[in-house]
Amino acid sequence: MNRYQRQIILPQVGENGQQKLAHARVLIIGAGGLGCALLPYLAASGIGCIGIVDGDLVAESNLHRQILYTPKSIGKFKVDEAKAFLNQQNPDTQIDSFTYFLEGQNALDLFRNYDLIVDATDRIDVRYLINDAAVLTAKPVVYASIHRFEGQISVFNYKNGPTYRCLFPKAVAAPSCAEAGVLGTAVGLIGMLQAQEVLKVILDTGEILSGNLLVYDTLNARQHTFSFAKKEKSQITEAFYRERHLNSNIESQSFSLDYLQNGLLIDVRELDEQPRLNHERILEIPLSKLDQNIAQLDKSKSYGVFCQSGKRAIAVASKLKNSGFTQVIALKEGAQELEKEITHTRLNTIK
Amino acid sequence: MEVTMKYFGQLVDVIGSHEEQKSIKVNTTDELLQQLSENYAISHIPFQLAVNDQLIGDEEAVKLNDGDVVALLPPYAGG
Repeated sequence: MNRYQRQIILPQVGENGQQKLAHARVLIIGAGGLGCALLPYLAASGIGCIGIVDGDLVAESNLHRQILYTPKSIGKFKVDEAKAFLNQQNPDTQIDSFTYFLEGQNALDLFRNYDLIVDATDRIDVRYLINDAAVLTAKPVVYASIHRFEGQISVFNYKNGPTYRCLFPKAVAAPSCAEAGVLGTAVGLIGMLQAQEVLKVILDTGEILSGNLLVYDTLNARQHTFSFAKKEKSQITEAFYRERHLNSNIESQSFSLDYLQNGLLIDVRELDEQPRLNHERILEIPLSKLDQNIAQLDKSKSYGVFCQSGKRAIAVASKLKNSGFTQVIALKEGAQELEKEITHTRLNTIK
Repeated sequence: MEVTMKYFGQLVDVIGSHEEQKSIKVNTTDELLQQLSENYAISHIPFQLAVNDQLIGDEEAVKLNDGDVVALLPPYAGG
């Protein structure tokens, strides 16, 4: 235990606190800027088990702030790269890595295996999912988020305290780091404040930021704390969870002419798959190139996604929905059937 | 009366400052919001309101007093 001696001598930690850390199981959602800042400190402190959930791959544009990754990590799963680093750093800590994104279908089962959830994601819709799944599984959530130089930190559902929905009742869109820009040190600072709350919750010491939102402005070195109350209106039940996070599953729909008149179709097949459908309202975005092209799509437009059999269409439509596209469906028809439909339509138009 | 306005997140860019003193003729938070949305293009930015560091609900219209500090807090997405 010599490794932890300098923190054990703190009266707020002690041998007892170190045992609490060793028995703690913490789940981190997101291995981006916040995740990279807090993970090495949480592992170094001797937390027994850390799970990391993120289906994203390391990109070059991550490296200025996501300091667990090197140029060799590019194209690899973030959670695998983070795990390799953390295993070297502290072999005492068990690292569970999950190479997929948190969704309505997997959140409850994942959360049940941990004591504490850390919201280090970069999407508002996932923040609501984390909140609701944590309420249903009775886990506290340590939350942080960033806008440029400012960060917000709070602790939700702590001893039945207020939740994210009590703070922000309206689910809305807000710009991510990719859209708004961010400095590595700003996300690092906010990640440290978040890590500190994680340790405080595990050690049951200090004033936990439950019912309080800390807003830290790293550009002007100012901080503000706002208090907020629990709202009975924000009650989260299993039925509510199903409605918000499970019924949004994509179901295939049949092709309608409307998509060629008012919307756009997206062909997610690879470019060598036949037949090719040429139409001014069909975009060719192969599944393998989706991530690079998603930024070109307009969230206010309606899209119908198709492929050869319909399976990839469902996967892509679901991904688009999770990325904030609201008017997106997967088409039942494959390319061959669609070709017939479109040819038929053209003939009718000519007549 | 005089109030101090504090802006956060995207609102700082739209309004052009993170803090300002305002002389107001209105009496409640919803009247103040109405006046703000007439002066600034902020309707596309979601936010919650805090008066003297206490967040207030959407349905509440809080009476303002001289010297109050009103903060506009948008949710952030980044991580």
